[in-house]
Amino acid sequence: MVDLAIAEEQIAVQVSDLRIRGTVPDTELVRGVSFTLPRGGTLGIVGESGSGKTLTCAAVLGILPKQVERSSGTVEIFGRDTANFGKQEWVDVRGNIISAVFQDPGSYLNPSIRLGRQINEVLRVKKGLSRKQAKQETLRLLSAVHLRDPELVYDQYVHELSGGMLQRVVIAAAIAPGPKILIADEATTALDVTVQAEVLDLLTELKEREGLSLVVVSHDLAVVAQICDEVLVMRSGAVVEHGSTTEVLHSPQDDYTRLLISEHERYGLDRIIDSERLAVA
Amino acid sequence: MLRNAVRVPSGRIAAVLLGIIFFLAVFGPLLAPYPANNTVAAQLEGPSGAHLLGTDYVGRDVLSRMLAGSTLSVLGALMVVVIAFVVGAIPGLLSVYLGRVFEWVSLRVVDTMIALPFLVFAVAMTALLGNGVVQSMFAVGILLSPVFFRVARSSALSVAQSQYVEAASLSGASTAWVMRKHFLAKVLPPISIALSTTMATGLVVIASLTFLGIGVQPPTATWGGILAADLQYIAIQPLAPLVPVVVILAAVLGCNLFADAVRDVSGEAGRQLLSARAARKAGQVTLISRALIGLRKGGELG
Amino acid sequence: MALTESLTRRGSQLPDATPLLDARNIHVAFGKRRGRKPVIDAVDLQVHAGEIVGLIGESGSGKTTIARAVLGLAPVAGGQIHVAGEEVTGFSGSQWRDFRRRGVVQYVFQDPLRSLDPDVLIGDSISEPLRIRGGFSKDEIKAAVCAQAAEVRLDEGLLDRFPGEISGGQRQRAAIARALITEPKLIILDEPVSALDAATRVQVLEMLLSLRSDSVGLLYISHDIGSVIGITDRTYVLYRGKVVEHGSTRMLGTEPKHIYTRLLIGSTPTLTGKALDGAQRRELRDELEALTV
Repeated sequence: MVDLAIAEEQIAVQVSDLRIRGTVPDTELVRGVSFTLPRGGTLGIVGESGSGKTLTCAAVLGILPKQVERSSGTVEIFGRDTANFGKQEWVDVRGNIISAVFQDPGSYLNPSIRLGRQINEVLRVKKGLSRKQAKQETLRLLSAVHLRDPELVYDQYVHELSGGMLQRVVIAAAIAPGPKILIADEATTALDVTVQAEVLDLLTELKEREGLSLVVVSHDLAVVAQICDEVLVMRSGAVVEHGSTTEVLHSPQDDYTRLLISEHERYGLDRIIDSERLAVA
Repeated sequence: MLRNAVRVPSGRIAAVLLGIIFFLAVFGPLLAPYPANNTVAAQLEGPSGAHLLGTDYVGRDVLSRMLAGSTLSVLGALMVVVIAFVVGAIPGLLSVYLGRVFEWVSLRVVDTMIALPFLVFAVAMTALLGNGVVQSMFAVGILLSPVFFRVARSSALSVAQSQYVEAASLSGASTAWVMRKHFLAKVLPPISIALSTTMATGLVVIASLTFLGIGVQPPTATWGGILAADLQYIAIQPLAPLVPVVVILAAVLGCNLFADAVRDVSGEAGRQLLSARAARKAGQVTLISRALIGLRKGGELG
Repeated sequence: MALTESLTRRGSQLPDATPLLDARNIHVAFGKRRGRKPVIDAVDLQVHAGEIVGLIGESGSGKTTIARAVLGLAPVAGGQIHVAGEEVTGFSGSQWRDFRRRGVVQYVFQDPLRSLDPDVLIGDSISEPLRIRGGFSKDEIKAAVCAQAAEVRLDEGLLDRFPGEISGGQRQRAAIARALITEPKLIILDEPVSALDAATRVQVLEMLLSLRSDSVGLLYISHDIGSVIGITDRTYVLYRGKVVEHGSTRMLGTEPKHIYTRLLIGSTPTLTGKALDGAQRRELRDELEALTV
């Protein structure tokens, strides 16, 4: 039922003037955010803690915490308005259509169950696979995320893997039910630089191979610049900059964006390796 | 910490209540208008000019008995507290600094004590030490010591492993300096809370034991004993049994309110509360509600 | 020693050639006998006056262990460490205490929320090293604290607050003020800006640059290549406990030689996206594995 509807839709996620309120104390946490994620596109959201980026993603996934609620605006996933989604509709959509990975992979996995079983569980619940089929598919997924020894990882526990490997396992679990949209919220922030690069490579590869639409959220403009076509910069709950990556980097409209760019130019690799100067007022 | 604790309403009430109780404990017997153990008037008289709280079933002045009994009741509770503190807090603190063997042994001893059923232990102690208030209080003190062990140990451990202590060491601080400047402020609140709640427990225990007639021979006045003796006459002279009840309640309430006050002014919530008060006094408008609810800074939903 | 006396003793007493930090052939290992694992292996490191030296490494590289070894917090199994001309390897506990009291070396932690006592006022935290040393009057201490607060651009009104009441950037500035108050010759900073937001990061990095003087040397430890490139003159690259490359920071960034350095630089995201592509990185990684096995 759901698949038929989305086959024609070219817009994966459409957010229009989304506003989110906190109830205790009463403040507006997200003030009118709008963006469009086309099918197969990559959108980057740059912002620091308090910018509202995580709340926006939570709203798109329907996982806003208790003291927080959407006060106005629309969120459409493949053309379907999620404002009045009930429990069952969210269950149908999560995993199958839209999925997410977050910052601390270890905390999203059960420390006392072997990793293979945890991915199996996703497959059996979401796709109704038998135990045998699930195991095969899990092994395929583990090698698709470039884990060197999928058979070994299948039997391992959380504490036996490094941060980078765990993040790959979480990505495998997230794409297991075959979603069309993947949100990566600070997914590489806690990882070493070389591992981060590998995970970003992986996300790009998955996008190309499986046709995923990606949302990459980070506080680091450079991370977003690496793999996203479009960039959204958020600050204090509002969008202060929005455009294609080249536009935003070459003609930033907002001071905050300019600050981020100049930081990289002054205190980053950009300072010494590139002849291409970015326009910073 | 004490200065801060009396700034909050619960602390002020606690200070008043505890002040009265300790005053009674120290000066009570001296202030009694009549000898506590002698019959001085008719039995079970109501309150009058001569006897403010009336007389009990033998004709003794209730007020005098209550005052006379204060010392024993409060002292007994204090004894519990002191024993629990010494037996618990000192090994607790040392278990962090004296090495693995001592740590292991002390932890296992405490685990065993916690596993023992309270009453069984009390009875066994009585069999061992004899039947008396002092012995019972001693046993109760030992039984309540694990709390102090845990509190002292966990405070010492968290401070010992903290970065600010490491920073002080990197500037050449001695252990004594770290104790004075960093450890004391951290351990004082939880220990004070443990002291006051244990005091409350001690008061109730000694009242219960004297109520049951254990350890103190009549006609010695104790709060529990007075209650026991006069309870059956409650319909005729309600003040006789109720007066000790009120005093015990007041004492226990004072202890618990003090613990609440300390809790309110300590830790993150405490610091916010105090800074909110200071800001209010200075005339600035702050989000008092935020401080009072105890919302942590940095708990933004970004 | 009176504060005024030490204030006039600005300028190094050592001949310029003597490094403020001279670590040679350092070995640090943890564990006993069969389980003994080398964490730092034959590392040479120098910091001279007037320099800001970087130490880059990823998690598990041992960069924090080196700092701890220099400060006497990690057991050094082999090699020698000289700080401001004095040998510190083999110091006993009380020798370390006396040495630390002199305030010659100072350390700035990564997270000021943890390195500042939450129940101590900012002003008192900043003055703690002086008060531990002793011998200063209240006025002298107050003057020193205000001077350092000004140096790190920390508003004086914040000195009477608790750490929980001020922002992350202000906290880190307070921590740096605490490190500066004894007029150290060597300052070691371990990830001083990673817990801060963008605007504050820039301010603190600028402030660190302004600390450069001919009586002080800075050792800046980080996994963030960006900030290391931004403020250091020379850098050491640490991989699995060994220094794989070192030299001028600019050279390291533009012409890295060792495979690991190339992988590191090639993995760092840049605004113009000119880092290596996935395939190249995989190649380098495989080469690296082959090398270190």
